[in-house]
Amino acid sequence: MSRKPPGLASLTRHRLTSAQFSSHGSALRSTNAQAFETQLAVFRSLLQQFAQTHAKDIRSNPSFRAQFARMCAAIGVDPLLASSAKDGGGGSVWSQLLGGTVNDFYFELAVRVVEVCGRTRGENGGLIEVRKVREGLVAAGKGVGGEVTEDDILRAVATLKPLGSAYSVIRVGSKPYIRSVPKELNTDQSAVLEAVQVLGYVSVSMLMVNLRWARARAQTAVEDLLGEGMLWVDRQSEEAEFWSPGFMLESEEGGTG
Amino acid sequence: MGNTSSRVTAQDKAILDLKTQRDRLHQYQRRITVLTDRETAIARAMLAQNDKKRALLALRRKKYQETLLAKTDAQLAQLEQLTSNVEFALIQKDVVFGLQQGTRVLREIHAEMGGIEHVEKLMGDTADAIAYQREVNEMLAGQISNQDEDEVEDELAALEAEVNGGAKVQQPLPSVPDTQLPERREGLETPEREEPPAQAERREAMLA
Amino acid sequence: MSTTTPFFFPREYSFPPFFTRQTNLTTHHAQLIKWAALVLAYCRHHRLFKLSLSSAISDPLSSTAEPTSDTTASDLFHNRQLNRRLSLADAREVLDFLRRDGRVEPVDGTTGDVVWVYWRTPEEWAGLVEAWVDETAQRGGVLTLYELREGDATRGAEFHGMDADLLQKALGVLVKRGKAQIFGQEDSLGVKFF
Repeated sequence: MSRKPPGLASLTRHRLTSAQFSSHGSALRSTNAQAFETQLAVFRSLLQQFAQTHAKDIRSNPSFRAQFARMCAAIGVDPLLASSAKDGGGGSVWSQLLGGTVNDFYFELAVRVVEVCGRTRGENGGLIEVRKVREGLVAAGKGVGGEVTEDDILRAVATLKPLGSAYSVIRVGSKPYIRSVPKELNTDQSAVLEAVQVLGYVSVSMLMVNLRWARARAQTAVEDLLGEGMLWVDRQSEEAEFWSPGFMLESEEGGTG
Repeated sequence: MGNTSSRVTAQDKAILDLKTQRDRLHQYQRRITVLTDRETAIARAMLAQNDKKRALLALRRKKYQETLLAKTDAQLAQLEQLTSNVEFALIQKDVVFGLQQGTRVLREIHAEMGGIEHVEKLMGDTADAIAYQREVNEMLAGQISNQDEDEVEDELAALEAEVNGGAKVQQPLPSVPDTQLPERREGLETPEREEPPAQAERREAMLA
Repeated sequence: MSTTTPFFFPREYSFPPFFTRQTNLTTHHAQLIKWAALVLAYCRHHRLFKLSLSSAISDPLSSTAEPTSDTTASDLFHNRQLNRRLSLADAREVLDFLRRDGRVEPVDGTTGDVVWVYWRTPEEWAGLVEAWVDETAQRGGVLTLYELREGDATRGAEFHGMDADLLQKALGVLVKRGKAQIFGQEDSLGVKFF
């Protein structure tokens, strides 16, 4: 850029220069856009090559998958959603780039997640911690082709969005849960569930002490959750205890007889 | 189950009878081992007391039971042959007779099963026990072949060696012939024997 | 006939609320299903063919009692470690649930306290016996019920050592199908397979 000479004349020249620059800029930009498109095409084909060579790894290695997800996010593409029509192809970017391998992986995983949710809905009212889903998948024994992480589960659930709001991820405290029923939790109910996470169960007294609630409020909240099938009650203790059904999905063996 | 025509033939029924006898035998074989084990233990205990007479009695009793079982086993094997015969109708009478014989022997065995409590009587000193021992001796007389008798004596000798740790018994017993070596016996003797009460008590205690 | 390997209880057996009847209908249904599965698995492992509800529920005086043969199942409904037990009424409900499923049947001539637990139904047993008869080419031959249960030839077969009455029930299934006939005296029954 040339130095600006002082005075009105310089201002005029500057404007001209900017105009020149902007026209030049747009000329540049259109040139760059071409280059950019070319670069993207090259990048995609490299990615494709890489994917084909390492398809097995991508399928079995969770950090690889996470890496790809990040890379796609970096170029502004959501890997699991179907690409827009202008690309001409059907299916997600994953399936285009990777020949369907990883897409299949998440699709199968989503199916397994739905199975676990369905299987356990009777005992947990349709609310299940993602960690427990993972343990439920392990318990079901069907190899999903290597390790499955909680992130993978979350990504798989995301693919179910087009199915409507039936399956969604909610947070209780810091932990992610999958909800497969339309029932939404109010703040009190969420608070109770969060409290249950600590010991696996709560009593009305515990809620009163820890959350400083009146008895009626605590009672209502637990009874609501009980009514929704999201908690089980043990009445053989001194005070009734309300337990998270997730306990029954743990992978260690139970007591021997 | 009221079928008009039964598909079960007379041969089937005979086979069932045969197999039922064999099942009973199977059951007895299991249970009689309890008895014979006990009888062996009694014989051993008697030898430790230098009471060869009673040891011998226990072993004879055991031998008798074993021969009964062996006899029936042989009979059953024969019957099995007969019943599998295609010309069954012709030999049916033989089979029926054979089964009857078998039943008789089984009844004897069954009587032998009389009771484990009776087995203990082989050692006792009460009038009742002595009478029982005499009864058994009489019953066994003529029932045991010479060969069986030999085998019994061999078993006695073996047990003796076991009990005495190889050393021969030296001290003579009052009113009992001092026999070191097994002898062939034609008849059976049932001597009345006095035993010092202290020794009897000790024996009882041992078996408790 | 006891097994040497211990029974591995499912996870829910260590879950205290498992022993309290849940009020939510869906939860209760899920609970019943789990209890039913546990009863069948337990009886299958211990080769219990019958269950006496009253003895299973009552606490034996000797707290270290092992589950014996016959009908006692002292740790089925009672988790000593957890100090939780299923009530008599709730246990009965589990058995009723199994009954509707064809897996439990009251034993004839009893008050309903003693029941058959069909971790294998009479039909399933019949199938096993029939398979063995075919494997050993014994169709047309006569077998005593005793030898089917206790004979050396059937050692290793699933039905070896099974309950005598249940075996008769199973054979009854085959009789109804015209595949067998039972005959002989009460205490020495035989069966012929066609």
